[in-house]
Amino acid sequence: MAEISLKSLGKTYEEATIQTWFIEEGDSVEAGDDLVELLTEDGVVTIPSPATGVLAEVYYDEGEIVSKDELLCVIDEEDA
Amino acid sequence: MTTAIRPRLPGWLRRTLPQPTTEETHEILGRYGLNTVCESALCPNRSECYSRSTATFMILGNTCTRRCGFCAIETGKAETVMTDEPERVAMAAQELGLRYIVVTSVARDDLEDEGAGHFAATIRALRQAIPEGQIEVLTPDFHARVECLQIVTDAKPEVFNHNVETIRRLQRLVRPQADYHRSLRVLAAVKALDASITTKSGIMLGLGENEEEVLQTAADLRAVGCDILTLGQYLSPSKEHLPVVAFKSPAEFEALAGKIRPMGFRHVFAGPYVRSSYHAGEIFHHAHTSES
Repeated sequence: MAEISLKSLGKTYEEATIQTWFIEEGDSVEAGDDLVELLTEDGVVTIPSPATGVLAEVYYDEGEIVSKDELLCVIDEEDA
Repeated sequence: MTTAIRPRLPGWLRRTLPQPTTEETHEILGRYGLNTVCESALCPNRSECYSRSTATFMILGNTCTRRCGFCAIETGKAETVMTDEPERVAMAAQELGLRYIVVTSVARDDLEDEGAGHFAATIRALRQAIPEGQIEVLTPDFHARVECLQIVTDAKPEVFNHNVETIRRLQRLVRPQADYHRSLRVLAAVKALDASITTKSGIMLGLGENEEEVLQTAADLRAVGCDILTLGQYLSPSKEHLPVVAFKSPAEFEALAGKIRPMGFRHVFAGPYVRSSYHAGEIFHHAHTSES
């Protein structure tokens, strides 16, 4: 399983507001596809999917503030 | 590949992942136990500003006695006023190497002077620590009480900023405990108390206003002698806050600014990520060294 959090952005953000989810739970996703855009201390940034598979679970909705230690979602990765 | 199920935010709001470091500014602010509106209000520019060793200090605690629909600052019971805060702000500003310092606060309707004395003490502490510095205050409305405003103006900040935030029609929705005409009276009163102080105000776009209403607000601000105007895009801090009604493009911001500039402001600063304290020092110097 690939876990996605604010750490996926490659910089330590204490928190961010989820603006837009681009896919829903159960959707297929390829590595590099945009998953979610967030409003951060750097403005609007996007997290791309690190893996190919299925978006298994989304933990926070649009408009919710997430902190650096919280998971945004998990991706059930396809077998190589 | 799946397609997006909801529209993206406009492309002009997207930023590439940043590189500059902000740890030093964070460390200094933390060491002096200071709040910033940058962090408390979730400003999308804070990384850029922190990386340039600048921040807008927020005094009088981290809890506001009002509840505005656009603002991410915590609301509720006010905190104890820390009498050493002015000195800590001054020391932090000195260590950050600031020469243009912006100080704002939460609303303190619980205090007899609504925090005016604390603003003045902070200005004086900054003057002592950084004699060559220039100071901008971004204040609540003090209920337009002249006795409170005079406490601040007597400390002679270079800039007195008070935001109307939105057009008259949306005031009750956006800032239910404030008042459009009261805010205009604040700016008028500051000019009457000390005409040498530059006054400044800001409007957020994207809450449902139309162009005519924005132009009227600018005209109303100019009528009370407002010198500098900022216009920025409202971005909703969370689903608990007012939603964004519209996104204005950089071209729309610039077109609007073009219609406002002939009104006679010293400077109009407009753009999606513009905020009332963003690049405040540069704006002040531009306003006083060239035509806007």
